[in-house]
Amino acid sequence: MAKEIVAGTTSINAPIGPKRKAKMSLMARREELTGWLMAGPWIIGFLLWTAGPFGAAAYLAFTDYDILSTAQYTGLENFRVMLFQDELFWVAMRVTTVYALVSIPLQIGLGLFLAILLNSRIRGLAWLRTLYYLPTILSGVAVSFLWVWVFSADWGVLNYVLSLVGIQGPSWLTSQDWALSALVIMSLWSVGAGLVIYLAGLQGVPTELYEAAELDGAGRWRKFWSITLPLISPVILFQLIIGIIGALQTFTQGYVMTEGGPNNATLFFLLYLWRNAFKFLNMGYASALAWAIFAYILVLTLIVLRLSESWVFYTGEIKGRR
Amino acid sequence: MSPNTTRRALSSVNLAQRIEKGFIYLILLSGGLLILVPLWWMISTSLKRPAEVFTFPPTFLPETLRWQNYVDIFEKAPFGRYFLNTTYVVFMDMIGTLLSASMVGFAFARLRWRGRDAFFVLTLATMMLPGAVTLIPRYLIFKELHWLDTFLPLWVPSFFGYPFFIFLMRQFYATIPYELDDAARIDGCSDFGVWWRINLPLTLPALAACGIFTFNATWNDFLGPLIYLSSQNKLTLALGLMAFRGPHVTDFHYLMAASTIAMLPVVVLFFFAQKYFIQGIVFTGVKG
Amino acid sequence: MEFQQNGHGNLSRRRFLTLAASLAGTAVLASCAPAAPGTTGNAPAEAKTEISFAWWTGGEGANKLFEQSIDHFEEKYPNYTVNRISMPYAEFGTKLLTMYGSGNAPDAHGIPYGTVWSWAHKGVLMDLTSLVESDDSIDWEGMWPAVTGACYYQAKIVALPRESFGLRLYVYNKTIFDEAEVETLDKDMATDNWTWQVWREKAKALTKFSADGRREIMGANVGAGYWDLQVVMSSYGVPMFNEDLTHFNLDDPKVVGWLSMLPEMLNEDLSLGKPDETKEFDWGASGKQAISQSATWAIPNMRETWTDIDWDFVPAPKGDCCHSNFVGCDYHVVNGSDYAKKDAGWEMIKFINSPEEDLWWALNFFGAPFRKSNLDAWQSQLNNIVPKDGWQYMLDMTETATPWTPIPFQDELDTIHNNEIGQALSGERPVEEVVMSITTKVDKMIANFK
Repeated sequence: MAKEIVAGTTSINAPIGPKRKAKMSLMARREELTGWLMAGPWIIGFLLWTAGPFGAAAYLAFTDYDILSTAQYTGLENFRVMLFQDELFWVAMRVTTVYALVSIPLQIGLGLFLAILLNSRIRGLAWLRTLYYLPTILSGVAVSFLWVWVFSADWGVLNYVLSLVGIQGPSWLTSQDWALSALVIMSLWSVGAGLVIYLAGLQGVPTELYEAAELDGAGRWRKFWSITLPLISPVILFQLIIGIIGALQTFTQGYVMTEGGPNNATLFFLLYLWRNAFKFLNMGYASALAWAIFAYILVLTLIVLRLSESWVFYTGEIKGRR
Repeated sequence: MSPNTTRRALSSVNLAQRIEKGFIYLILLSGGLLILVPLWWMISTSLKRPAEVFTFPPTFLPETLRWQNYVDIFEKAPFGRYFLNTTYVVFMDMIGTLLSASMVGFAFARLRWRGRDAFFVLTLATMMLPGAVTLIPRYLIFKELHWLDTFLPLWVPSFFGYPFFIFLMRQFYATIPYELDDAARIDGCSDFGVWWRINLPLTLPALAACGIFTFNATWNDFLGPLIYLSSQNKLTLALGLMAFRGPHVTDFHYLMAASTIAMLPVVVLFFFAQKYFIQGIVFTGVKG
Repeated sequence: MEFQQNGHGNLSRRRFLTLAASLAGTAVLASCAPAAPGTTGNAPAEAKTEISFAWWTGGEGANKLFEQSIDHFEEKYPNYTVNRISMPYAEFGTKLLTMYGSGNAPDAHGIPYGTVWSWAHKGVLMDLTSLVESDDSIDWEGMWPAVTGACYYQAKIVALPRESFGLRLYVYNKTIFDEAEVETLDKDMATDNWTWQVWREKAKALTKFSADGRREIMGANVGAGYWDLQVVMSSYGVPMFNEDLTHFNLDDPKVVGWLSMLPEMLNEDLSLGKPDETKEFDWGASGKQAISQSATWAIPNMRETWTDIDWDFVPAPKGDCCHSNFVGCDYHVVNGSDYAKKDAGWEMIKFINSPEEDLWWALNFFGAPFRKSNLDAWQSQLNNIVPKDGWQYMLDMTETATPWTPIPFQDELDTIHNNEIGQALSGERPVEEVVMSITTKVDKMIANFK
């Protein structure tokens, strides 16, 4: 099944030329070996320190484990409680999903837009790019302090700016209705994080293509739509999947800024999980929660990967069409 | 066309370009301003006396510039030491990640081997399980290896590959035309050589992106150092910063000063890594 | 997955799998086994014994003070070397838990107030009762009852106090009072008229606005977290919980009455700070707040930051019962696991608890000493820096101070309570509704608590 899902996402499903077919068995075997060897470090590493902990986390989901004493097997109890008894599980799922639905498109759209602007031929490019990248570098504590002030109802920058256009801003972080929106806005501040990746992608588009298109009379929008977008679509796919994995595992903002409140308005799933694990010492239940969000993210990612066949363009396919 | 018409045509193109550039500047600078405001506040707080930190509404310019703060923090904790430690870990981590991600990513992107696709999904899947529940089992593994209170757990795994970067490099390899690979193979190049000689040099922007990301993530990482490091002289910057928050008192002026210093290397690195992102460094490609 | 019968690849693949299986198995087993006996054997009696000790760092270079205290210990007991482990306060729980969960916890360490029950409940702390009783150098009765009272778990002593704090103080800015021509709080205290009602009235009278409607002087601040409510409830004579610990008394009419005062002060009187105004920003330190809620641990810090302000302090206001007063403490405990060096750990925490070290801590750190015998020395050395009158109240009340209610579900209660109480304060939801929501959830949590 993995093969079908991943099929559209690599460039090496292109038809093979006649010369290759003849030598296939020997070359294919060598390629197979090289493939394993080159992927080897990752596989070894996986077995060394990922597989074990994953297995442990899987086992713990079926136990009652408070970290300080032995785990007690309890079967499906954790999952039963999680799905049928725990209201906060659904609250956390809802909050996290809403956050992801809003912030991912914004991040990708805005990030790409910004990267294109910062890829144009203007002066002071290095300075501007550094400026937009800075928010990603700042450490959590300092940032959270700043944002409490920015979102302050009476004195904050945001409400001040809104008041200039005649809007009276809400009390953001301390309001049940607006706290999540405040965190979405906050996440936009570090939209420059994806900048590095988009820029790298944009660099990979051969300038000859643009020149050729211009000679054919293509306008800017046409160039963007027919050249830029397709050629950086693998990168956009990357951002989308990473975005899903990241947004559904948002933690720091909820942890530092709002502690999940007010009234669970910002109860991110990972915050809820962390609490169960390290605050309430319900590591068994937390493991069950972990697998729930894992399944959620995995299903979404597989869907995205499958659908990506239709819009992601891999340069390798050029050869096939000629 | 007469010279005058040509000139007028060209100058109207010029005008359009100038308006466009102006527009770009406008957007970028206003966005940049939004970014600058909190940053400016952070730096100005780092120069304030403790009494001045807590004014409300917050002030942007300290009454007096207390450069002393930047000296004091080195007395509160061995920040010089933390700096060195963090540099060491980040350096090793960068090497490990660049090597492993580029090699493993290539294997996933360009080579055919059984189980490749299943493994790729597995690679992605490892990013989907929250780290909180694997924290203690991982700690146990490193305890069995006797690597606790050393830097090893922090950078050795990078030589084996992190899924995020493997995925990233794989996507970038997929943007390179396959014809190059074929051409090289026909010329007798081994698969490994195809990677080392052909594909890798073309992914310099992607490698630079990886490098910056790794640097940033590791520089600011605190969870790993928190649980694996115990000795005073082994701590890293991120841990050192957290130390300014106590149960009752937070020294904001010191915290901001330390944060500013901690921020500088990454900024400098990013600024100078720009040359890998300047338009024009693209392969000239294979024609036909 | 099919396996290709390729000689070279087959061998390495099989090895991978065997290695993987054994590693995974080991990891799983290790993660659910109880704390394994230590692999590092105890050093022979002649050589130096190494013990590990963990604490958390805070503001004001707490780290350095801890280092010095441990230096004192190593000087006095040269046969010990201390492996020093410091953790940032914000995440020290995570680190400590990880270490305990892997059989790697330090021999002795600190724990914050209110957590004695949780740690003892899990069975990781050493029982110190016989050690305390048999040791003449420990004057258990000479320490504040409030402080020692919290060291017990099921009638066993499981912790030793270290640097007490938490005496609820209300600091007032004399200059603001004088300018507004309002009588200062020490006079109210003298006539036994320092009540919550008076607090509200004065806060309103002292609040000032600038020409463009912005607040220039804030009347007062207050908190409504679990810790703050202990003070309030005891001032009305209302216990935090009912006798058999099944109900949270937040819904007591007197408490609700007090809570209802707060949104009015915030939105009508305009004398209280909004949560986002006061969460991180200290109006008091900038000389713009008339009455500030504070505690003894803040006093040494105020020495540095309130330099331009003429201030003094009184205890918290009283309800219809009394001025409530709480003394809290951080604690040092000994790891009770099999692998820990318990004797050495005991020596260490006993040393830090000793009268000399207690005084040294109180003078250099941010707390008051936790024994009567040290009070005079401490007071005399601090008196020339901070106002004298305020200390008198504190001294008078310290001996009769009451401990926080020790409960095992501290974290759970905090989480549920803090989740909604802010909405009652700000008036976003009616106070009665929030109170009922919280008490229902807390009661349910207590009933289900293991």
